[in-house]
Amino acid sequence: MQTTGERVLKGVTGGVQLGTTAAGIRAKGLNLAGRFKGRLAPNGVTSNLTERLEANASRRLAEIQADAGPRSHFFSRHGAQTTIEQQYERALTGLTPDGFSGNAVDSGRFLSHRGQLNAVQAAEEIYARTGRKVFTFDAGYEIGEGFLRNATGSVRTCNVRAVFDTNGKLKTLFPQLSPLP
Amino acid sequence: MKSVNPYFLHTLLEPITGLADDDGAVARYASLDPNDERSVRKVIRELILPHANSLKEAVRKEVRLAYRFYLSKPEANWGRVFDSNLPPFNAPNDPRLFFIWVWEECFLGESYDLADWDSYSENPDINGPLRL
Repeated sequence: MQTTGERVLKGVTGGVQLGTTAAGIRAKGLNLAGRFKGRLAPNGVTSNLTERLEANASRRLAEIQADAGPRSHFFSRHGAQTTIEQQYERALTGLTPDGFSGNAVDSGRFLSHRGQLNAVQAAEEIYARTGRKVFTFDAGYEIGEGFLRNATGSVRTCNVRAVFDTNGKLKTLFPQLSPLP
Repeated sequence: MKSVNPYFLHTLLEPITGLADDDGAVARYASLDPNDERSVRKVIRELILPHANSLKEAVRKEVRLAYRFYLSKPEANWGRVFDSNLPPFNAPNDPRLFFIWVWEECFLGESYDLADWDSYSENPDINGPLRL
């Protein structure tokens, strides 16, 4: 049985299946490589599209964070544009990727902008359905990576923790690392 | 066999979850000594107790069981429960103390001792809290 997060994520990502699309075109015998020889290479098509999808997702995440107000940092501190070194630094010293000097805490980033955007949309769906402002859900695949506080270890996770404010705006959303006692 | 879901340990921390990403909250608690029981209990009464009192009885029941089980289990890693929520202040040097203080403030006069804790099985169901 699928989890709520899995169902939502499947719905969100269902329309984008790059590998299937390319394979389907090849199976139908369409000689696109021949027709567009010198202009497009199959791998180039996929990587170019992936880059565009990532850029679009990044732009959308920045918009959602801006719309949520200045106290929202889920993209600037946990987005895929942050580096694993920045997450290590925050876990060790408290310096966030966007330059705020806070406490040393568990520090994680999403592995892709599309993964984070899917997680945002899944979280919004769960919030709309349950009214819960703080919750964790399982993305169904490895979605984030980071360091435990004081950089005692690096981990990957499928878990996402979401926090909404009283107006239904996303306060923060982060890959939750090793939450079990 | 009776089961206990550790994800309910996170329920009472919801009011402080993610506040490490809130610069105002980090500044507000910057001077909090996490080992000062009196100061931390004050924060618990201000933030966590109202949330605990607002929970549905079915949720409180699961939270109560999870606290009793893991406070009775000697090797429970309370630091992971605390730190994985990105709170705006650190846990005491012994993170278990924080959860004992939470228990005592939220379940006034109740004992957390679960004598037969080893007769329970752990069932880490991430969706459990969303179903209640």
